[in-house]
Amino acid sequence: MEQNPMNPSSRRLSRRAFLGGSAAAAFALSGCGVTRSGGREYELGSSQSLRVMNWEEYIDPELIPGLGASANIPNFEYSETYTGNAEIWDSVIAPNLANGNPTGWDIMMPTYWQAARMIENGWVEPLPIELIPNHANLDTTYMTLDWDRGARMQMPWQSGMTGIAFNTRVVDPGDMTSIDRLFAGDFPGPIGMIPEMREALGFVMLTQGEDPSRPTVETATAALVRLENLHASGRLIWTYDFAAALKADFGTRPDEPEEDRYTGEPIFASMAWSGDTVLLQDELQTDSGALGTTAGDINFVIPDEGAIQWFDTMVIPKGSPNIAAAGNFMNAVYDPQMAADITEWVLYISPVVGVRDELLTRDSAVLATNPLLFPDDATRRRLFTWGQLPTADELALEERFNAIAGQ
Amino acid sequence: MASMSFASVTDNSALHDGTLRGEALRDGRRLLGSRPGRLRLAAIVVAIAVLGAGVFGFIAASEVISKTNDIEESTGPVLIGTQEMFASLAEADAAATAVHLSGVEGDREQRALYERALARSSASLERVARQLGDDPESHARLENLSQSLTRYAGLVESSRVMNEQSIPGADEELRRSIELVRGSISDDVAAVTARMQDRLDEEIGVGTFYPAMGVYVLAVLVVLGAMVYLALRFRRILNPPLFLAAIVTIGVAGWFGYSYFAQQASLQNARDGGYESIRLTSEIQSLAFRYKADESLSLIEGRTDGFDAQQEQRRLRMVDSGSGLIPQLQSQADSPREQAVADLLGVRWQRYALSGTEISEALALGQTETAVAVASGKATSAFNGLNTQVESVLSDNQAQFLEEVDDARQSLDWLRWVVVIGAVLAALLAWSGFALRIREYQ
Repeated sequence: MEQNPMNPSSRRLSRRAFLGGSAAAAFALSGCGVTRSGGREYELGSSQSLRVMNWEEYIDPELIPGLGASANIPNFEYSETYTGNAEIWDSVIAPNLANGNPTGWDIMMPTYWQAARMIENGWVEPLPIELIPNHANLDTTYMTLDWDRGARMQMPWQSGMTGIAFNTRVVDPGDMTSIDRLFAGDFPGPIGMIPEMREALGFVMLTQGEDPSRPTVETATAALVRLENLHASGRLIWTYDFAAALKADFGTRPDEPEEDRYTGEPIFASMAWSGDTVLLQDELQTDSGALGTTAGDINFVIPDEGAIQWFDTMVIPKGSPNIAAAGNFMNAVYDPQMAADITEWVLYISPVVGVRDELLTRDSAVLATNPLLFPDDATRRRLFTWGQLPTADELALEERFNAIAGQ
Repeated sequence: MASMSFASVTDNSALHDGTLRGEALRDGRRLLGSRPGRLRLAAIVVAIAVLGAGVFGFIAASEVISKTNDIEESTGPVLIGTQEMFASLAEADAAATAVHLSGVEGDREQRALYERALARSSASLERVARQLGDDPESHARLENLSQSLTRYAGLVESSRVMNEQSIPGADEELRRSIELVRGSISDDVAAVTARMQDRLDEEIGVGTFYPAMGVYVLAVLVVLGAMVYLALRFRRILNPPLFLAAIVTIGVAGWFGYSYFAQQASLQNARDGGYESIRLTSEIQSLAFRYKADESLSLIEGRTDGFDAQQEQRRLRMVDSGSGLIPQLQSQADSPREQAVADLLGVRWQRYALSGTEISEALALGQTETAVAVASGKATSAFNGLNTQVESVLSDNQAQFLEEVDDARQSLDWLRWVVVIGAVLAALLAWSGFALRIREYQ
């Protein structure tokens, strides 16, 4: 049965649902001193086998078998074990690549800043462009990155926005328009905060009139100090699973497994990822019979100050023996039809040009007008992607941040 | 008495000189008058011929090595760096125009893009200046470029501030900045590029190789002549040391020739496979930039006269199946990767050209706002895509170019040592070949 994109069965987990409990305590950059590979030579290797490691719930499971076939990869293994940037860095990336060993994976999906570090360390193979004619479909926004001009070392998988999601039954939509309002809110309950340093600091920097895309140690530290003060007030709850926390406000479906139920303190407003929020709205609509909820019970806003944009991106770790297969896979997922299939399910911003036109021809055409999936130029101008600080400075900030965010 | 003694000293001196000359003549006669003497003289001549070939070979090898090093360390990087500088500047200019066109509030993202691109452009310029070497004319051009960049940044900044504060004249400032890139800056870039191309041609050129090979041939003939002479005189077919001297000299000449031709082949590959593509890419970029600049100017000035016809000509120049720059680039590609990158460049150009068509259609219908929206949004984005694709082509060809030049340099790695050691060895062998016969005679 074909899945209705607006009614995605009973999936409940977010892009990073399991991230919270498993993120590593410290971001040990054990491989920073490794000599960079420098050269751009690569061996195409086999096109018969491919091992892809992605975040959980980041593709429609029904697409996976067909994906291997459409990329002509007989031995296709897709794993949803990318449980977090820090954790995978510590357990898979650094221990192997720092010692010149392959990771055992042919494609991994780090978030952009981690991909930048991998590229800087020379731990990424160049993309086999000759096998990826659909590279032409890459949104040019991703081609002007300073750390990978022309996107020659990575290809984005999905992109998203970090804004504010709130319960409209408790919080007046006219009142929740800014990050400052979120922090100073007089609504009941604590505020949900996502424990991702770059997004959280960027959020606070926006309230201080600073540009997160061009951070300095001073501006980032000032944001961290404000965050520490907010944390000290006891009003912040650090969680990746903000969607579950928001949904818990509306009760629990009788058929919901015990282990999936949110047991923490309820929150009514949270720093939130756009895709997870759209998914939540979707579920509330689906559960209208059981819970009496509608999609409109949760709102997602791009605050007046702006929002944070991020993206997870496909990289080929150094030493992959299947670069040809990796190129074929990337080409397949950059086909607008396949990319539209992915968008219908994950509900994040696709980096593939042509997805919107493709969706307009489908039953899911309504998605093509969703500003959270296809932000217009005016919205894009209000989005900020965290710029980079020197690694040592970022590590120092991470140490302080982890102390309050509980990672 | 004093004058007397002076005269006698003078006379003594003359006598002494005469004595010396006489002794020298006698020595000469003794040398040439006896067989060992003549053999010693022949040995000296052969040794000098071999050593002379070595000296000449060393000079020629040094010249070839020096030129190859210059291509690797200066000419090549400057050629590429100049294109990179212009690529960054084109991106900066597109972003600055987008910021301007997006109105009083500006466009933060494009503004950041402009600043980064301008910084990259300045960094490229500094790098080029460091790598340029001793070339006063090019340095003067770079000095101009540096001043123009400063002036350009000033004009853009002034335009932005005037735009923000709604002061009249912002358009004029931006127009001047675009004209500056299109005029003086483009000219300077083209001039430096042309000089570097000339330098590359000169450095790849033959130089003193053939005269050096001529000297080697002469040296080999001298050694062979000596062998024949000794064979006839002493009725021995083979003089092993002389034979070895001939072999060594021929070997050194062969090594020299092989190294030189390998170096030439690599440099030709660098020029045909790498640099020709770089040159084509820079032409594509320059044309695309002129296209973009005219588009921006027509929007700022609100004019369309002659604009479309000119743009159409540029479109044809870019994609015409016979002589278009992009088809040429595609046909130059000598690997699947290069082919793919060139194809992607074609797609990015088509996207940009389509947005350009949208702009000119909107302008023709008097829909300036629509034209401005397309120009500051979709068209800028498409131009950035084209521009970064240009960088990708440059980068891939740069890698190929530098790899080939490195191969050329490596093929000359041991040449000077081989030439020097070979010459000394051949001379010693030749000498010992004669010494054998002299000893026999004595």
